[in-house]
Amino acid sequence: MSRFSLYDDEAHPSPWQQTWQAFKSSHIALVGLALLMLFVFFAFFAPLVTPYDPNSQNTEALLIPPSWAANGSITHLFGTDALGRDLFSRIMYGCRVTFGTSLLVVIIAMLIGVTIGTIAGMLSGVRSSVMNHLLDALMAIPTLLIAIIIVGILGSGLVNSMWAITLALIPQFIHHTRSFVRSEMKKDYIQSSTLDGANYLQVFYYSILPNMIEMLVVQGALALSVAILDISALGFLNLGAQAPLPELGAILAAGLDAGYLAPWNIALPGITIFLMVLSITIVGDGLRSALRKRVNR
Amino acid sequence: MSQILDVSGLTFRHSGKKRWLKKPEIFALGPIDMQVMKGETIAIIGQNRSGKSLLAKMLAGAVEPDAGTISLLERKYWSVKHRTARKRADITGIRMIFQHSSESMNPGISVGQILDEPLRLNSSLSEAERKDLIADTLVKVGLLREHFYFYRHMLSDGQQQRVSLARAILPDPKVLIADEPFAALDPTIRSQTVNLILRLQKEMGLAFVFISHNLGIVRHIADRVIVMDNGQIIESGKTETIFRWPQHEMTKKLVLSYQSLIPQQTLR
Repeated sequence: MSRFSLYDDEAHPSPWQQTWQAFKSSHIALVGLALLMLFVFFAFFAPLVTPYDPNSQNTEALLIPPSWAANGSITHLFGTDALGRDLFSRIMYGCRVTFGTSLLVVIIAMLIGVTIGTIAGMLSGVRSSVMNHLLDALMAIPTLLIAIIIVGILGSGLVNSMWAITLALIPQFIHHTRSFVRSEMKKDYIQSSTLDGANYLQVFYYSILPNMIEMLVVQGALALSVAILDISALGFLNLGAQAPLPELGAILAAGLDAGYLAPWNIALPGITIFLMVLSITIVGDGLRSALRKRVNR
Repeated sequence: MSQILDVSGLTFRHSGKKRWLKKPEIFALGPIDMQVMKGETIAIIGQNRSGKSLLAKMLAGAVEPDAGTISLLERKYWSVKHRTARKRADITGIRMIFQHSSESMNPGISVGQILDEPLRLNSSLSEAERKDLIADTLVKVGLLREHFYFYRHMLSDGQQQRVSLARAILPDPKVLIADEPFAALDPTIRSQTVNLILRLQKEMGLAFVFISHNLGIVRHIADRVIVMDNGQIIESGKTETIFRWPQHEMTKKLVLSYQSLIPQQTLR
């Protein structure tokens, strides 16, 4: 069928382009995004950009102050720690370990939580209730305590602490997804989809998921900051990542030994964790308001 | 005129089970018998809580009746509860326009995707063919092809109503059921929509069953009127007959309340 229309040339931005347009209008969100991109860059390309091996010890250069201090040197940008390891390289690798594992943990928790929550939301009666409260026992205790219990049973180590945090994050996702799907399933447009013959999977994918993204972004950002804090807390307590592994919490704990002598060994990893959580919160918030603008304005 | 929809003994009982801290609700609909001819317009009128919306939902298959059958062109029309039976049957014969509300259109996807759904699920057209058909239908209901990319919040109430109409007529149905399609619209848009539906009905040979509280429109477009009260059909017949010689108390009240607005007319 051939048609002649001058208007077809007009560009119609895709949903993601519209979201980006709305996101761009907030400057704070853009700064947060730039910061987050920096951490993502470190997470992916740390081996390529680090000046030193994060684990190589140099007895010639113990506790060198950072480059901006009076007696610091530019060869070690953030100075060195008590074993003569370059702190800048260690923090870059620390972003890789802390940020990367947190992201992985949140993605796994989100996939499992949203799946169980959706099933619970679409079922009804006792089955729905059972699905919904499957992991509720975990919510009775703070996430960090659950993590400590699981690490206590399975033994310390980064992978064990990842499992622990994943388990602790799942119930929130289940509850939010279930209540969202519940309220959505009652709406008229879902009913007209089912009248068209859409099965549960199609209803979820085409009708519910596009509306759920805002909720997922909010919960995902929240979960990601919780995961980062928990992973570094477990590393700090020497229950998570073990000694030579450059994990931000573990680096911070190692810096504690020479805290009075070399305060930058505590301050710099601490600031990194702070900035990481801050940027995630800002980007999550900006993304949420951008998504809301796309659908409501 | 040939009969296309035959409803016999349709009954719905509100679940009488007594729940904890809750009295059983007493509401029963039916049994309802009605026939719809090809190209016919039927209006269902009645007070609130008389079971009109429920009847519409049952006709469209959204609510499973407790007894009775709906046959479309001599074949049983299944409700959504019977998934496997519906897979084999033609489920696009009866289409429903829901009561206009903020929930009648999905806010998260574009108009094009909303309209694509019935075709994607119920036809073997390719994506390009579907897009062409959707564009044609959008023009048919008085929208622009550009509305394909619009979202719900960019459209006015009247335009949203047109989108619902487009979605209903896309798979070329036999019967269109509408629950108060003109309620949320202002008089000019309402007249436009009425004319649009009348035109489409003429073009496509649709049977149109609608619920309305606006007796002016009912009198204007309906061939037959069904009056419902408390879950029962209390009177039905040709529009003029019902409006001029109402038999039942309730019908008299409804017609009087309408005609008291038009001073020159009196009941004979």
